[in-house]
Amino acid sequence: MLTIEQINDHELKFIGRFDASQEKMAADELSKMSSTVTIDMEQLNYISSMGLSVLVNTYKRLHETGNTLRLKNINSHVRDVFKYTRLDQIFEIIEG
Amino acid sequence: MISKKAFRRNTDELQNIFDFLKMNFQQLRVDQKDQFELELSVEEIFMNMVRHNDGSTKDIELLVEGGEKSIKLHLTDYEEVPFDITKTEAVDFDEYFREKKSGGLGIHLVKQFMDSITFDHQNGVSTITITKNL
Repeated sequence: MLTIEQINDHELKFIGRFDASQEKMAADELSKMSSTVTIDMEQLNYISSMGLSVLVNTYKRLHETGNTLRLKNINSHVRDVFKYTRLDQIFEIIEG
Repeated sequence: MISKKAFRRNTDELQNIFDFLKMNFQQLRVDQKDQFELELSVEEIFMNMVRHNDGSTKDIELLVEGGEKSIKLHLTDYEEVPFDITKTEAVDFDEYFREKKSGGLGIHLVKQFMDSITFDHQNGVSTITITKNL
């Protein structure tokens, strides 16, 4: 299960597991963000390709208006998923 | 050790699949990194079966075959038209990003994380077997 906490207007925190069953909930939450947003992933311990797809779609939507999506504090297993899909070269990743 | 369970072809079954895998992984003493990669691979294949064979109402079976040096997971689906994921083309990342795509990375990840993937189709039954060396 994935929990999304809103830290402030520009930062969210993802907690838990981002699998295909969480796609709609996560897409709905991210659709509310209209300016550059940072997602703290310190407590995100799983992400599959469906989760990646939601993040990429959000990045594309924000990028069209000159904004972006930043990811921070990604743990090692989740980081491997970004590395093998080369999405670590697309997203701005902030080290903890 | 062999353990088998059938799951409804529904996204809501993912948590039950993860619970089943975790129970087996604990018995087999699979480390956290391998667990992550096996769980992700099963999700990608399961969701691929759900999406590409959406006319079926039959359950998808998952069989765990654990050994000392490797673990094999067999996912079996009943489909008339086989979809062999081992024959999908490698992702062209330059094209992928140039055309701003957002999906289609699941099977690529399975190929990255697993040591082998095989596909078999006989009498309307497709079985995908993934192997991870421990």
